[in-house]
Amino acid sequence: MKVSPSEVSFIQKGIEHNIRTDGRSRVDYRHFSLESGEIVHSNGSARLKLSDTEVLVGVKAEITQINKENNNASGNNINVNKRLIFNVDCCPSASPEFEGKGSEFLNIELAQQLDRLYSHPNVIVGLYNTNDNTKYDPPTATTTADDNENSNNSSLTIVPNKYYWTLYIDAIVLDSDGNLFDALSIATRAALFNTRLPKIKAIQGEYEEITFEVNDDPFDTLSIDIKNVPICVTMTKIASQFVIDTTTREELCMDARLTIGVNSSSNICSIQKGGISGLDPPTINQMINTAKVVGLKILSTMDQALLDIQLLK
Amino acid sequence: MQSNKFYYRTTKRGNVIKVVNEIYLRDDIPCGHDKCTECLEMLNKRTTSEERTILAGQGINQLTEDKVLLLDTNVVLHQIDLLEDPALKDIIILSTVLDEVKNQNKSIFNRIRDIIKEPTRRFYVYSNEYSQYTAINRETGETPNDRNDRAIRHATEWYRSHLHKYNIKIILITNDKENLLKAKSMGLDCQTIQDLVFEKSNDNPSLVDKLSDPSDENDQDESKRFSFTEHKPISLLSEEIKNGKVFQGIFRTSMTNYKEATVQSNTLEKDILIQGIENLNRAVDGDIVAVELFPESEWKTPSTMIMLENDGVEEDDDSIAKDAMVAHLQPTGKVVGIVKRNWKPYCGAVEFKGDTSKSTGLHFLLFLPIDKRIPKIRIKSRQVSNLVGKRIVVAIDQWDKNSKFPSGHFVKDLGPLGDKETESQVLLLQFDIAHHPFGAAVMKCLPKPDIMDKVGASDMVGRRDLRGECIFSVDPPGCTDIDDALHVKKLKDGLYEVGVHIADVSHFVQEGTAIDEEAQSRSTSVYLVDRRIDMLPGELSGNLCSLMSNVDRFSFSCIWKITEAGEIVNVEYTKSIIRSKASLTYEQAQIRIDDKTQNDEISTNLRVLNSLAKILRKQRFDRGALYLASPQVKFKTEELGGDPSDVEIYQLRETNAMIEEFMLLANIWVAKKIHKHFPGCALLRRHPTPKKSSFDLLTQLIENKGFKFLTGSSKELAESLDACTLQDDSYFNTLCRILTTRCMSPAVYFSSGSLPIEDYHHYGLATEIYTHFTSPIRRYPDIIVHRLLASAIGMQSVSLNLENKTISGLCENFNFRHKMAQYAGRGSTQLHTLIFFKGRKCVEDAYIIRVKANAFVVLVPRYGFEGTVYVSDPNSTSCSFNYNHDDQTLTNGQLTFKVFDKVTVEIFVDDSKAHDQKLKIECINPKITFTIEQENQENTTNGNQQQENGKQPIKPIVKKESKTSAAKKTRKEPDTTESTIKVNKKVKSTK
Repeated sequence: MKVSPSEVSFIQKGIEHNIRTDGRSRVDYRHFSLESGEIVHSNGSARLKLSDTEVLVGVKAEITQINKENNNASGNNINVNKRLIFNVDCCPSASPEFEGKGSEFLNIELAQQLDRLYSHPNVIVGLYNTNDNTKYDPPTATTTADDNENSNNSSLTIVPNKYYWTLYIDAIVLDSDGNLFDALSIATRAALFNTRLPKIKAIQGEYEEITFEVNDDPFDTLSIDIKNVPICVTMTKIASQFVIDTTTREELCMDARLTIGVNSSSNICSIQKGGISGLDPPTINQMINTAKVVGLKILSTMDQALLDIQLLK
Repeated sequence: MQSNKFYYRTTKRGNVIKVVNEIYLRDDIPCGHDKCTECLEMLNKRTTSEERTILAGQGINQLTEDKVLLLDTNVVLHQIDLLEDPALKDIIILSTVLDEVKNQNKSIFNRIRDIIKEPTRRFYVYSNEYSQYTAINRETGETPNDRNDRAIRHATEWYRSHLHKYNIKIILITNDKENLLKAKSMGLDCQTIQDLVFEKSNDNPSLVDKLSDPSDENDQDESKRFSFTEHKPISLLSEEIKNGKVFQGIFRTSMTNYKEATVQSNTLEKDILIQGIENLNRAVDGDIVAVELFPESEWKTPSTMIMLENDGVEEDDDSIAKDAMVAHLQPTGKVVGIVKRNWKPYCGAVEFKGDTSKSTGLHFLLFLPIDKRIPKIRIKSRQVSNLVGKRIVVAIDQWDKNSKFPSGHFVKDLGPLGDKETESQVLLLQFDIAHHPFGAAVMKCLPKPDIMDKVGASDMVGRRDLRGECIFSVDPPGCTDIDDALHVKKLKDGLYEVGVHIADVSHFVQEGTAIDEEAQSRSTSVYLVDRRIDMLPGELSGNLCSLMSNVDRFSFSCIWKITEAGEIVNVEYTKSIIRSKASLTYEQAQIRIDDKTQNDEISTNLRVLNSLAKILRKQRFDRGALYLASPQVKFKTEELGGDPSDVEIYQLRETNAMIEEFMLLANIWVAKKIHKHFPGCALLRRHPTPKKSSFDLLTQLIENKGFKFLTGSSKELAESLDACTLQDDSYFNTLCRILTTRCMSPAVYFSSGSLPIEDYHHYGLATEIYTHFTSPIRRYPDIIVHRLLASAIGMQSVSLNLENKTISGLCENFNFRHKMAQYAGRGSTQLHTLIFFKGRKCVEDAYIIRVKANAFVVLVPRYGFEGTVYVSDPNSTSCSFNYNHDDQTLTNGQLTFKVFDKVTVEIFVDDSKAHDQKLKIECINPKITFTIEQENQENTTNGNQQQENGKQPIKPIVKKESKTSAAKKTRKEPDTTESTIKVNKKVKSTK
């Protein structure tokens, strides 16, 4: 998609006057709808529709064994013990630009963005029993000397230093009308909320080999506590002002952008700058403050909605 | 309407995955009642008339009565015997119930399915899980059981409202208290099965007996008297088994001692020994149990010998340990839980003393299973007079921890005790021999009967046409399943071409088909005295595969070029088509050989074969093959299926040996071929070299007679046996051979990958390698060998299932089935001998073959059976004879009995005990004077269980059952005698 210089000027002028082409003000978010649990084969899923932007996120949990040798050999290779693996795929149907290899770099950028957003070891604070909302205590290692195992998303541990859950988070962009970063982060958070992990019991055999036994009640599962899970709010600088929740057209007029990860404790979880032009510190501060306000509002509305969905089910 | 069901499960690789099933719910599943016009209209609207005729052909039953029963799962699981009673009709089985039954007990599932198929019973399966009116989803926090109960109630309610307008009453039958209460609160009609049965018991009194009795009432006072340890729950067990705290294995009660058992665990090298009723902890032979080991200081030795040869057995188990000082210690433990019960219906008779005509009310009876490893079973009955004197089948319901005996219920009446038909049924049940008619799926696999009349070019690919050859078969008279045929041809350069042609069964029995699976599970045809239980349907075994004369038949041929000196220069294996010129009997063939005036092609060929066979036979014996013997008899009957009127020893002719020789040759050469091509997974047969120690006793006995007896190698043994002849007693040599046979372990099938090459050896035949190739009609291993050979010569692609592991697994089953078939055959011979002697008293010569402390065992050559002669009252400990274990003699000063002595005995049937008739043998020359005073008491000592009073000393110096079972163990024939057995059996089968 391309915009003509007059169109750019029209959008810029509008933003200067705090009125955007679709009638919103600079800090208005578009309406969005969330659905969860649509993909029955996955452990958790969510679909987000934000105007024409539509993303679908599925979470698949797999048991992974910690390979000690690998860990030692490649020293600081953080990927070895990564417990959340992100993958984003922009459908060619969403935009002609995504055809062929067109979406390759964007896919990587989006996945990387999500990965950074979740990079803090305490993103997932814990698990709780789906049925009665009581906290579930993950098994902890008897020896704490072993690397940074315990601090690193330890709630997903099955057998300390041996087995843990890896969550494969696959996102598909079905349609696009801008603000993909935010959309993906919201959908991912909702999908994690919807994720159910089976309760399993590790049984140690005679020769140290471990086998798993699954609880036979498919409803007696574990849910993920998303209290600390952030979403991101992207601030886009167009002309002298910045706006949130940009449409594709607006993104084409962008000078610079700052994607800020916020969680419900109003912590800043990540900041990522994009775009060609620079940003001065006061603007950045302003952007961060706005992002906190907007982010918290989205998070609280979203959490309420998610709880309502769950009760309905 | 679609709904999803999901669950989590672990994969083989150890991952945990979510499995989702999509379920599409229908609104047009008929309720199955013929009065319901609504469902009929729906059906007519949605289907075409063609579809309806197909539906009608599927034999779906319709309910007709105004009162319809709907069963809960627990009723089906616990009362299957009751449900099999035809008095119960018009029953709805929900798919929920059927699925639950299938998961919990496969055999009950099969039985309920058979009932459902029966049109007169009017059972209707309603797929409630797939109907949008009745399907429900599991609620959060609901156990699967609760969900299913709810589904059943939901379906009952639907049925009620659906059939309400036709005035049809639906009654839910459940024994689950909670379900009953909940259903009642919903306003549903419901009953327990007991209520139902008592309602109907006026018309059908037998229903009450079939009622399985899960007794809820606990007599707490009594329970303090005696109690087993509680079994651990399965969830705990599976964890402990995995981490090696307890061991899992199959529980095997000792053949000779009911208080002892072994458990074979995969993770332990040695079997685990379990001693004492307390430690056995209610496990029954065949159960899969979890065993906890005692510390090594408490390990014990098997007490078998002590239990048998001691003067008495005390109630506490410590006496066992004290006496057992010599043998090796074995890991010892106790049963802590049952992983899986292997309870089957058991055959036997009830123990009852008193007047049956007066006993009308409800009685508690003790049931004595024939299998002495199974404990007595307590049953309740209102029809005592109908059960006493009958062979009945009883199933165990449960074994309460406060009860010494398991409780069970009556299942089936097989017929009067001692009746031939009844007892044959018992044999088949006892040895687990499948004798049901072949199912529809199996019969569908059969080729058209005229397939051999129109053999096309495609059938002939790779097949050699041998229809021009002069091929003939030699079998016992009346044989219908002809496996093998032969031909011989003189070639130009002084060589003979000899061909053995075996029925090509694998051509008709393709791997993986229903018929293949059925044959594989049967493994072998079983030959009883008066009947034959086929491995393959009669159409194949008696016609299409059978190499009858003057018809084209497919065969698998093994063709050698042999020099006159019996040297094999060339061998060829090929599939072929043959046309046998003649089906001879052994007798006819012998006459043709002997009668020099007959000079037709067949007769001359027979002579050539006979002379070649003699040369081969000599070569074989020079290598050290054994000629062993076992007593074989044949029953003569006056009419078909009648009682035996005479017994005669089976006569062996030269032609028997001739056929046997070529069959051996074929088996050996095929074994070589398949081993060459499939060294890791060829199905072979081996006969292990016996341990030297097993001959010790026999060597001593024969050397006492003044002969040298060397057992170092099979050749030495053969020579020693040849030398054992007495001028005045021609039977002595046979006797030695019989006893030698019993010192050896039986030949077994195995997979070549599971053993080193040196162990392939077949001791009895003195050959390095051996297999079974020549009787595919009546043995399944031969079919596998045929497939292997076909793959080896490139006639067939190699099966995907060909692995050492699968072949080894199959071999285990074959060996087991083979053993069971032999036991059943012997049992049948025993039974017929018993029938033969009924009302007869015979005086015969007999030979002593074993000497015990208070008795000796004799073999009666005339009738080929053996029995125990007591030299004192079997129940008293005092014995006027002195037993010398080293010399194996019994003496009382005037008389001495030792092994190989010839005595004269009187044989008659002892029918003083109705439920345990047996042959009685008494020695009349030399005469032993003693009287059996307490005949009735013998049972209490022989019985398998301790008596309730527990005080009575049990003194089985020589237990009857221990003797027979010991004899069974040692009585084994290696392959040398096999073809005579086969011949013999074929004779029997024709009767």
